[in-house]
Amino acid sequence: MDIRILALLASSDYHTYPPTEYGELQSSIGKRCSEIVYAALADKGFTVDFTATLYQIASELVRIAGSLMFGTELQFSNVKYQAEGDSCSLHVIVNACPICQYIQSDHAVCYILTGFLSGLMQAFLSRFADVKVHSIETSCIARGDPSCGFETNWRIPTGLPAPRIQELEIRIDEKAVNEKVSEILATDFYQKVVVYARRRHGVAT
Amino acid sequence: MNADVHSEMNLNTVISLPMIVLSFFILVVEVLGYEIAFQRSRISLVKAEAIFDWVSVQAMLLSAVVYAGALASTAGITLVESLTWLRPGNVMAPLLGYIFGIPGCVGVGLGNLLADSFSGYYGVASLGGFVGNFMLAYIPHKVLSDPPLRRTGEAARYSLFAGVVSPLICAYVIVGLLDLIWSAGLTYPIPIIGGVAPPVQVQGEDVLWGTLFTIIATNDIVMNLIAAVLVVLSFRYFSEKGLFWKDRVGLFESKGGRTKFLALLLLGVVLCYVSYSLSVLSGLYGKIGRSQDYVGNIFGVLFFAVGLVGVLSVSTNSVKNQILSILIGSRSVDARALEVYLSSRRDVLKKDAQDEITGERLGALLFSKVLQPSLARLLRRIRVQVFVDDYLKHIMLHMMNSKCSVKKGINAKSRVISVEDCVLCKGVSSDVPVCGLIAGFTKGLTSEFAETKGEHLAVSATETECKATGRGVCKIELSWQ
Repeated sequence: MDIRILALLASSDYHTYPPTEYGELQSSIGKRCSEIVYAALADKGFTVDFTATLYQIASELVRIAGSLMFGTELQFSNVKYQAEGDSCSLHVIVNACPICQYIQSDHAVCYILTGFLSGLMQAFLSRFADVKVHSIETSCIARGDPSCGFETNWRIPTGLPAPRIQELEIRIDEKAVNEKVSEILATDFYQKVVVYARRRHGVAT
Repeated sequence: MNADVHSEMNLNTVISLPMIVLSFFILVVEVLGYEIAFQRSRISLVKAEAIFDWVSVQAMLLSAVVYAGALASTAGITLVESLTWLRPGNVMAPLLGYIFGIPGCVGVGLGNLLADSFSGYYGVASLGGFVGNFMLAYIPHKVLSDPPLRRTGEAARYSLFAGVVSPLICAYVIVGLLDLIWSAGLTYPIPIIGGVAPPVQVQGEDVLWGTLFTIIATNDIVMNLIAAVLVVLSFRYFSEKGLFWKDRVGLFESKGGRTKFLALLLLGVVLCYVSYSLSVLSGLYGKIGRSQDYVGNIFGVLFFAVGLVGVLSVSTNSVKNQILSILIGSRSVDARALEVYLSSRRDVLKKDAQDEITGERLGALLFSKVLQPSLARLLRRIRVQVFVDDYLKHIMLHMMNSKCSVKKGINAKSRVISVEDCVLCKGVSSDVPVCGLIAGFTKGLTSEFAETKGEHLAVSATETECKATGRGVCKIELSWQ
């Protein structure tokens, strides 16, 4: 089974629904997908054991969960953090995007990735604090941009310390992340994902 | 009298020399991946289209088996003693050469060597048989266009080059090389391991040029002309099965394919020697494919049957594998990611959302965006019925990540598609069928396919049974008008 079928399904929806409705639908699907993938990743039967700061974990989580959901066809060229006061943002640049490869549009169309990123960060950060995460797509290959860009923002809740600058200078070890993805795929990860997916809408497994 | 005969023989040998050299040159050049191009008055060598994929390698070996079996099972039927006979097996050469391209031509040469190995003609001069039969297939391969023999001019060209020139070259190469080898004193048999090789029956030049040459040339002229009918009749089957070599150009990765091709050709030659040794040791050498005793030729018939079964098997699997290679990327994630997507989608879709329409769009998109760009050449030949029977089930198989079967429906233009373990309704309980997306998908795929062929079909697809309602499989009734 090819991830392109999923991309074709996303573009099929694009041709079926009005733009606003499509955006809401895809964004919502992306959020739910990320919740399912994250739930499987964070399940106590499987532990993400990184010796790193919270932000490194978040950054690697984006890459790992993205690879698990969208395959190697989704290629991140950059994932980085910015922080100003209590405002934090995660910038993700995707130079090969499976979602918009069959769509030509005058606006950004990768709502499923927008929803996926905000849902993923929401689920992850909720373990530590009650935060509201918001994501937007800043550039999209479907409208002629060289890459798809996503910006995910949230505010550190009052009372929690803002992250220190040195923690934000993250260098992600590509090799280590790829090894981690391979390690996860070698487990019964997807069985867990599917169980979560079915449980999600009350279907007996 | 003797002097007259000798001068005639010398002339024949002189005529055969450039043909032998040219035939060897063409064989080597083509096998190395080049071809001779005629542009205006210039002749040059150009790099040929890469066709040495894995299907080609199988095609070469199967052509060899089919051709050897055809030759061995149909010994020459004598029409005029010492003047002409008919050997129906030779009719396969132009067909194999045209359908499989250079691998088919090489397979024909190898098949002749294999037939020699048990029919009693195996010797140093078998090299001429290899090259001569290669040319017998090669010239029709070059002369025929795609689709074959649709114009009078092409039929005339075929009659001249494939019907006359090609058999003459074949006869000149075989007899000329035989004459040269025997004249050089190379009349000893090829030794075998663990036994004594039978002696080579050396013939005089008058027999070579007077009888053998005439027999080969006249037989091949008749057979190559009959082969034209075989090519026209069988072209649709082979092309619809994805075996026509031109349709596969650039479709598969053929890096290193030529090396494998050459290695297997060498292996084929070695196996011919093994076959020669075994047939001598078992006492069968020279008893198969030399008489009209068809009971004695049963071994050849078996070979032919095995070869044909092989071709049919490749014709089925090559289609399957083509779809597989397009649909399954080597670096893709599991189908279960789709299940996650669909599960999430169900939550947010409006209840009145018509999934048939989504499925129809999905099928149309899959065809136009993924299949058509890669398989355009192959798909343009296929009828809607063949597409549904042979292709749809493979697409569905990988779309659904489970086994599907396509059976005939109530008439010739309807089919029943059974989907086991459907990704859409897995674990779902419902009073009504819920896999509208799949029904729409088959509809979209079929109608988009027909559109690209310029046919505007009224396609309908309905899910009649669904696992969600407690049935064993999901069944979709697909029909087109």
